Amino acid sequence: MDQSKGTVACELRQVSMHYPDGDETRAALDAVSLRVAVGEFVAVMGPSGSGKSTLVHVLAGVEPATAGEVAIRGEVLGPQDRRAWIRARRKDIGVVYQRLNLLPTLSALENVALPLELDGFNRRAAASMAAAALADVGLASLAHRRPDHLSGGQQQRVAVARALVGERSLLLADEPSGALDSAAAEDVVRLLADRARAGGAVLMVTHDSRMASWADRIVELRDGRLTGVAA
Amino acid sequence: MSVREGLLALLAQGPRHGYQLKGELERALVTGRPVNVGQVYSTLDRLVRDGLVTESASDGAAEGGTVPRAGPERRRRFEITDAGRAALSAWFAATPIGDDATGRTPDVARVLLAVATGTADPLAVVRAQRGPVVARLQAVRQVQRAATDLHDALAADADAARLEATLAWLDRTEERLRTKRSR
Repeated sequence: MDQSKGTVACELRQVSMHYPDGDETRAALDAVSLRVAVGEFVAVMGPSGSGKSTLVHVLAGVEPATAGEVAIRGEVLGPQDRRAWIRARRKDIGVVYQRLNLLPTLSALENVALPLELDGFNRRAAASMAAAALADVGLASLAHRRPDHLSGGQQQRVAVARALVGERSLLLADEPSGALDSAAAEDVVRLLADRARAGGAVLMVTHDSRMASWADRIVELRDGRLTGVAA
Repeated sequence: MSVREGLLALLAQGPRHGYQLKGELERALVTGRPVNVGQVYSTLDRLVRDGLVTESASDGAAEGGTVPRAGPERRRRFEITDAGRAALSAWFAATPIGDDATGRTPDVARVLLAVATGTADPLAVVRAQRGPVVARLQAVRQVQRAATDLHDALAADADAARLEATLAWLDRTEERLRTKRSR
């Protein structure tokens, strides 16, 4: 991970995201500018429908912004840079999606190891790193279960382990505590905070101010606009 | 339990007799226990002294409600002044942290009074209250993370749990206010 604290891990510059809505267009993001520094844990708070998930998708390069620029580690990546985005998601960006996106035919361990194998690690090394990541989220004993044999909360922790594994420098988390009870949610958000302390950069979107309070900085998103600092 | 501001908020809706205010205050603040009538009148006296409320004599019959048959308080009628309205607005906008006599944090009283009396925008009150609570919780998080022994960790957990409870209520309240749901 990049150890140079203070440098920018990711940045949105005047990013807008418009969706067609009947005859009109709706702005899920409206000229949003946001920087996350290396070593920083930023929480984006907002109610449902405020554009939080879209923000994560744009930063992960899975949805192209309608306008504005997205920069990862100082490099501007546009919608046409598909290969660069895929490379960034393999090497630099870990994402916990709200819908988790676990592969149902793979075990927890295989789900976590997969991005490492795609990144060129051999199977044995990937499995070893995945096992350690699963142990970090308290799932060592369930590593060989498939997602459909795990509870919602356990599946969520697998998704977090998959995003944390491999020391990627930027971690994006979309409501990572959604299916967890309060103790498990605290465990997960502490892992995110620890990752930031260890020199990663973390951006978490959440509707829950109790989760957001673990962040170094909290910003608020309402109706697609950043409305300032919540705390 | 915010008797002073509760009285101002009720009077901001319109003039009241002293005997009306006790029951309305109990309903607005949902204290779960009776408000001392002596405290109501002594607080009203202080509000009059400070120029936040004016008092006028009236028999009260035209105002509705049950007029006490006798006693020195039966004719006392109160009205908020411009200074009283300003003091109330300042109180709604303030964001202190701590417990009041009900064991509730002051933001709870603010939101309940805003909803009960319509004298402030409840959503704005909720949002204004949340910031300082989150900021306090962020500071407690630092202590939680730095705690090296069980004793310190438990003390920080207790602070965090109380603030989390307030935040959970504020978040839930905002959601309800946004959708105007009563349950």
